[in-house]
Amino acid sequence: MEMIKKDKWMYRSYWKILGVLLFIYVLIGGLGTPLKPGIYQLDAPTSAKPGEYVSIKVTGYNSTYAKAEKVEAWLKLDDGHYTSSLRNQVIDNERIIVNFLLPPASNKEDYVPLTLIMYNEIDGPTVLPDAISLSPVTAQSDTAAFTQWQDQINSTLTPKSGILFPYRNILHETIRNTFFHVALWLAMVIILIAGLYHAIAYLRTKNMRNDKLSAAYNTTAIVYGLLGLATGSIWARFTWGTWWTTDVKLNMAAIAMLIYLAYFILRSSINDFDKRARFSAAYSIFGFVALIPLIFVIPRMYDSLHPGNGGNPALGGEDLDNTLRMFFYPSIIAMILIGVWISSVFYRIKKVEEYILTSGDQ
Amino acid sequence: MTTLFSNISLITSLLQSNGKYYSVIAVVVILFLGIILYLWRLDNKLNKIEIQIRDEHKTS
Amino acid sequence: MQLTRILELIRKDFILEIRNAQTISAIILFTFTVSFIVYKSFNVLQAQSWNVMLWIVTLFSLLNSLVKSFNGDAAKTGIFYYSLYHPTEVILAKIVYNYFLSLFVFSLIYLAFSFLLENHVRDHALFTSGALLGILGISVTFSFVSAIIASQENGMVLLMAVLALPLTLPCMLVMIKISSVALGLMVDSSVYQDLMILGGIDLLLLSMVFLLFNQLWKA
Repeated sequence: MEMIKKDKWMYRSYWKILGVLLFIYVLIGGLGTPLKPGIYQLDAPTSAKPGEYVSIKVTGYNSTYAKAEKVEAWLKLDDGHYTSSLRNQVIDNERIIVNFLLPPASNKEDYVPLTLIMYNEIDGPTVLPDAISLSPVTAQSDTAAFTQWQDQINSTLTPKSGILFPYRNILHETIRNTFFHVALWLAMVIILIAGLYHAIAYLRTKNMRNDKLSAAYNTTAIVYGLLGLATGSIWARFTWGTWWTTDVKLNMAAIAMLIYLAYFILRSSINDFDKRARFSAAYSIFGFVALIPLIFVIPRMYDSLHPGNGGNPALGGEDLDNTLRMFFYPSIIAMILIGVWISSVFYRIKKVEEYILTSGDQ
Repeated sequence: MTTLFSNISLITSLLQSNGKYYSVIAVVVILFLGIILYLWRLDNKLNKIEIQIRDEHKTS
Repeated sequence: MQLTRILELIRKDFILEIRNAQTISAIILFTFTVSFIVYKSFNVLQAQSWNVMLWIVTLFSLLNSLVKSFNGDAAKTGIFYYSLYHPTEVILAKIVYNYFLSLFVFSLIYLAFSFLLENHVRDHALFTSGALLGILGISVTFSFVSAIIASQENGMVLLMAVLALPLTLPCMLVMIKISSVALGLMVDSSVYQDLMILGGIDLLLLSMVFLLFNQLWKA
């Protein structure tokens, strides 16, 4: 008897345990894994002329300039045009002064941003785009002067190995929010689709079970959505500088929240079970479909600040680093499982509520 | 008012320190608090049901 | 489902509206009052604000005039002729009627704005086609929501606003963009793509209404 009970409990709850374990794994790994070294800050003139002597004070992040045997630095004009530093003055592990004598000519008619590349054998290569901007070609420039740019970096750059998150400018440590904010949104979308599925199933079968499940999933999705807005707002404040922006995904999420909050007002305003189920199912399907065109509409209105758009460091596609993936996908699964768990608790409460109401009448 | 503002700037500078690591902590804390708050609401709902059941037992 | 039967239903709605002269005069009074308030509070309206005010006033006037589109039918008389007609015929007739009513309200507001303020429209063809498509989307959404709340007795107008306004956002956003291109506020060579998107939204909403209205109607 005891054994059967235990088996049943395991059978019923293994996915909840899986969700919690995955979430703990993401929490520990996502917060504990260090970032790769990077260039945090520069102290340099904003622009320089060709042929000029520039000295740049670099502040590194997680870097080991003092410990490393040799620190090298290059400024990159474009693919095939580099210039290496003359000599470096190491202050400590985080600070170094690199000096460049810029070649006396540029190949552009306009200001060009130069990219700073640093390398040492411990940290591996670190890159900062737009480090300094090179002023346009002056009269004395000629092709001979232009050839003073090296056509390649003449040392092999081996990246730092180990489980480390990539270092991105602006984002810095907040790249970890991928596991907590981005995964939350993806989980919300999947839970919303589950709610939509049950709304359609209700209209087809008229089974009250589907109605309650649909309401449960939509409620959980709204809770996730509001948390997503709050966490996104904090992230935006510390990377883009404002709490709220004209960003596409943000405003689409806000409209989705409005529609689904209206769904709950509709549910709470109808007392008849049957009517409530039918109307709220119809409204939620209509609302979900009305949201779909927004995917095409809003991107045409403004530029997006979100990763991948408008010069922001991207997280999706090839930029989603393998070490990020190690925690990103488990995080999505954990959030979905926990969301389903919350929804099932909500569903069971509704079921008992209805049972009491109907048995009280008899 | 000035102390309020200085407090806010203190908090923002704290969150920005250490490569914005503390803003990640803030996100995780909000996530946690949000889910706990929602659990609290569900708990209250269950409480109401329990009271209802108890009352029914008393009357019947 | 026949065209004549649908026309019959539309005629019925129209006659009811005409016979009950207070509703139509209320609509006219409402639009002119709001336009006058806008005129007196701005005096001179820049093209950008003209555009936004026009659409906001239109949105709320439509909300006001379409809120009770299923109201009279929910009464006892409704049961009689809704047993005669197919739900698709009913909703189609309602949408067509609401669409013409909306166009009427919109043209009233447009005239009032052009008369009292100034007509900033440069590309009239683009403006008109954008308005025709956008108002179709809005009136479809409002018809759907008013069918939902037809069964509710209390707090109707408030519920209508809460339920319908978020759903109109996709339509409104595209329509305001198209009309700001037509007003010369923005330069966009791919504005015809926006018109197509707007038409696509209309089709999507219409098909959803036809699919879901059967469910609502079995009450």
